[in-house]
Amino acid sequence: MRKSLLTLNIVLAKELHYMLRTQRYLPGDKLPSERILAETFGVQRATIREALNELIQEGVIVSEERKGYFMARPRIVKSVNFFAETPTIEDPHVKYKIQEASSVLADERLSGKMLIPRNTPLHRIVRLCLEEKTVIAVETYYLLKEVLPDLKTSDLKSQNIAEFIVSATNHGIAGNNQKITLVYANDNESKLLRLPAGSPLMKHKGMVYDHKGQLLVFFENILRIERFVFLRKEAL
Amino acid sequence: MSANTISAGMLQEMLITQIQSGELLPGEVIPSERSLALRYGVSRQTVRNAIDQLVKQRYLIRIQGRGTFVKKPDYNKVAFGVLNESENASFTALVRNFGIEISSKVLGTGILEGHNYFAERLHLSVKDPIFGLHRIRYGNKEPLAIEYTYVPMRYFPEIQDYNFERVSLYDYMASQDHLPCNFRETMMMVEAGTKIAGYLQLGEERIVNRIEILGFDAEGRIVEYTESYSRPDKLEVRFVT
Repeated sequence: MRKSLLTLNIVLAKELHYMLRTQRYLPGDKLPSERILAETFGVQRATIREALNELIQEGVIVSEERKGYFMARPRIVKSVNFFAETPTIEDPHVKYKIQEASSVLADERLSGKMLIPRNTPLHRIVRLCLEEKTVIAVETYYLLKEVLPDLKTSDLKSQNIAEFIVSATNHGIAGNNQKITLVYANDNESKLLRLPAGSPLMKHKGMVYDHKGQLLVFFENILRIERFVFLRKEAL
Repeated sequence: MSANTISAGMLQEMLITQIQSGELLPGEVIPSERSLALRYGVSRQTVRNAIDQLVKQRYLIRIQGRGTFVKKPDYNKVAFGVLNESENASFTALVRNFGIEISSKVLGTGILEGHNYFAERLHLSVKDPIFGLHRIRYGNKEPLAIEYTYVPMRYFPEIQDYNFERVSLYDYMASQDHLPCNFRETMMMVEAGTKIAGYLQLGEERIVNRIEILGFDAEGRIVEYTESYSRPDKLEVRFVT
């Protein structure tokens, strides 16, 4: 075939990543200097710098001016399989704050999105996801009142609300449809997430249906890009 | 089916599935409201709601006095990441369903030996040779994604003889009886570096989708590890089950 060389810095970045993991570098730990890393891998400093940049982009490490490179805090894993036999593992660094738990009637936008008649009674739940003191996500859930008439605020603390709702309603899931897109912070989002308006954010939107095609939950989550990773496990 | 088994949402999903699988082709007229209502045992209003929604989402287009048609893709957003075990919905397959012409450019290929990271990912010993394939994927000549793919050579001993600008990697893997049909995927957004930004012809917006895919064949062996970087304005990341 044509060119026989893969881009060196991509492959090198992977080996560096492997080294950091197997030598048990923990979040916050300082990496060896560029000079030492270059010697370890037998490459030029410019080459190791490119590999380090690869890892910065993947969020594995962070660089601090004049101080060097440090292990980054791992991203928070969000499962997109609601069928998963093992429920989402609660992340100990993440806390939730219920911002709003109210009853609303479906307006035009919601009736269009959820394909339900206008004025259908809904629970509307808005909660903030906090890591340490920083708000890293604003989550909004809409749930048909008839599906779960008695909803307690204390029920809403679990990490994966869609998962909770499914187990609470005993309906069983037949299908779900989720989308992850790039959006830009509106005024409300920028206020809640303490970011400048127009900052890039991830939007994770989804609907979950039961076997009768009944919509169980509709959610729209706005997330800080650098703090989350979505995971889809293989079917067993 | 009885009258209350299907909602507009379900019907909408079914129609989307038919469009994506090619059962309904771009430019084809969809069945009348009446016949859809009969077929699925729902009211005409339910059918109308589902169709309204699909028109809004640009899957369908209504032409006054002529009917409702499957829209020809004149826009760039296509589904991506919809991989499931029942059909091997590879990137190419999905995009092709939308009538977009896919092409690839090979950036480089090579055999990797003694690389811990890839050996670990592919559950190989560090001495096992791994074939690496780095590609740019284009849709209608626009760059959509960069794919860095690694496969164990023990399952694909002649892989070097193929030109993956012409041959689909999944077609080749299927011919060797090691088609990935089960996947473990992670998805995040990252800021593209200079190289990827260049390949994807990014403008000011440097945020890209980064998807990692581990593919298992029918026997549960790992046959593929891929990292892809794609433009969020061109490829839509979806998870559908």
